[in-house]
Amino acid sequence: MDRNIVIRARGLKKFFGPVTAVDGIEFEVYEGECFAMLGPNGAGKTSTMRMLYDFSPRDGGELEVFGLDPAREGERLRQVIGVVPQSDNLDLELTVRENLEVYGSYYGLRGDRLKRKVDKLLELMSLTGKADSGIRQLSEGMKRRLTILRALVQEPRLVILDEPTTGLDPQARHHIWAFLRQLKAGGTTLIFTTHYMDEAERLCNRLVIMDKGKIIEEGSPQELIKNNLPRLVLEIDQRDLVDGWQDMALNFEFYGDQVFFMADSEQEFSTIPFLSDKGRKILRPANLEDFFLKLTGRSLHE
Amino acid sequence: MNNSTFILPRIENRVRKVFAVWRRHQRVYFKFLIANVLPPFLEPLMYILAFGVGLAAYIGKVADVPYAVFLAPGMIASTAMWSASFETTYGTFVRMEYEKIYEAILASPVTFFEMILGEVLWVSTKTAMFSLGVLIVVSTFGLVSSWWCLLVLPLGFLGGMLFSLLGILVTSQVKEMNNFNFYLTGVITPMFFFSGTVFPLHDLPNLLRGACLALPLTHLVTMMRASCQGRLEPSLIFSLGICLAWCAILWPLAVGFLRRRIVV
Repeated sequence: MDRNIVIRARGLKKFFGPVTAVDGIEFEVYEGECFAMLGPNGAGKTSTMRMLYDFSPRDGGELEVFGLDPAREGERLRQVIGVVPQSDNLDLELTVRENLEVYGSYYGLRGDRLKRKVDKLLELMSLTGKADSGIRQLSEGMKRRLTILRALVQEPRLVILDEPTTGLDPQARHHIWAFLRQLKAGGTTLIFTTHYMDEAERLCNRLVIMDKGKIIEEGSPQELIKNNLPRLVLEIDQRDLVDGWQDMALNFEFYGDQVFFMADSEQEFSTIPFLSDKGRKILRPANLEDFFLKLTGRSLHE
Repeated sequence: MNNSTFILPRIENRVRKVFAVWRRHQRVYFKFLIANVLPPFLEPLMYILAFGVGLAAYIGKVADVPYAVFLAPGMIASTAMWSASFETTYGTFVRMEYEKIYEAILASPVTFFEMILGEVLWVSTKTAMFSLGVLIVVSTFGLVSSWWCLLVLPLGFLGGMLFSLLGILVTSQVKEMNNFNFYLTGVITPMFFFSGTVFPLHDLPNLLRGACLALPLTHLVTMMRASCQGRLEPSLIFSLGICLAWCAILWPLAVGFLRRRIVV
């Protein structure tokens, strides 16, 4: 399949003084794809994002976005890239509508065209009723939606989102996910960072997991789960188990007082020595979080 | 990739982007017009009342004119200095560190240079309007004697540029907002007192007078006083040159150091 490459990074590096924030990473993002970057805080995700639209200069390697070098063509590239930063940086003194109008003016939009564009955007995120409200009167979810809308004011071909739903309630998150899926369906390329495995699993086609400035895993969520984990997970409270359960042949991971047994079939769990039958047991398919946590135990350190 | 996707950054696009930033600040400013505009007018008015009316009764002429006439242009110039300084110290710091406005702007096609130019031009515009406002106030006291006084409008703009660039340069180095006290009390306040604002520099000891002549506000006051009294002399070119030179030196420093602070 011949797909257009939107982002190509080769040996990409970023230093902050003696600290290596991004340590020679390589990745590609294809047109129309949704690409996620996972990893603990300080892994280098935000630094990578910021180099894509030439906010931060890179310190090594090669980077191409739409075939252009951001360091040379940043100004032109930002015309077709929308950016949703980690924390909302809206103009607090202005209303919802004014925020979009002011931002649109940075792209040379004005007059009726800008006004129509703003009306259309407000409708997309059900913010029309809040058009004349101040930013301080908005819920966190609404602020986030507005920040996302603001990134779309010039109909970008690539949207960069840094932790799009961190700190939001479940309704707000679902609202934003639905919106991003719609955006992707419309052909917009998305790249985002997240701490939430469910978010990555729901939204992205491919992902990379970063740690200490390096990419340590790469693939589609389904691939990563299938290739690295048994099919099923049984969550059990450690207190419900007979001592000596660690000596069992079954795969397990241990988090706090929870034990996650892993196996390909339900029968394999029958050998688990339960102390009582009343304990809480959760049987579920293995997911991306299991993979991430397994990796955490192995190679990621807080 | 289709080339027509990209709008070439032509000169009119640059101007439009600079204006967009100017307009952003203007819109935000006008949201709190009364709170923003009233204090800067009350302060020079109080100085005029306390010194120009109250104290003046005990002193004769200063530099050949009644003290209040001498004082008025100094108040116009110092209002320009104070308003530009506050806007680019506390104001710029809050936009940079708390509201992250610059990060938002820099994610758009607006460049760093355009962003700072838009901000400096806005502060200068505001400062020019303040200068005009204080001029109107002092002229109701009959302290202005020439139509040349309208030159305080462009002079206020120039002063706004100079002190906003100085303020931005300071802000680029300040890690913690309380440290602005050092600049405002240690630099701006002495400049207010020793720039021929409230007394003439003429009779100061030579060394001190020389130091005062190096201060940019001295030259702004000199030009404003000359225009309010309608005494335009060739020597004013020197003062204008000094102010422009300050701007020319401060511009690359302010932009360069603030860029290093924000873009990492």
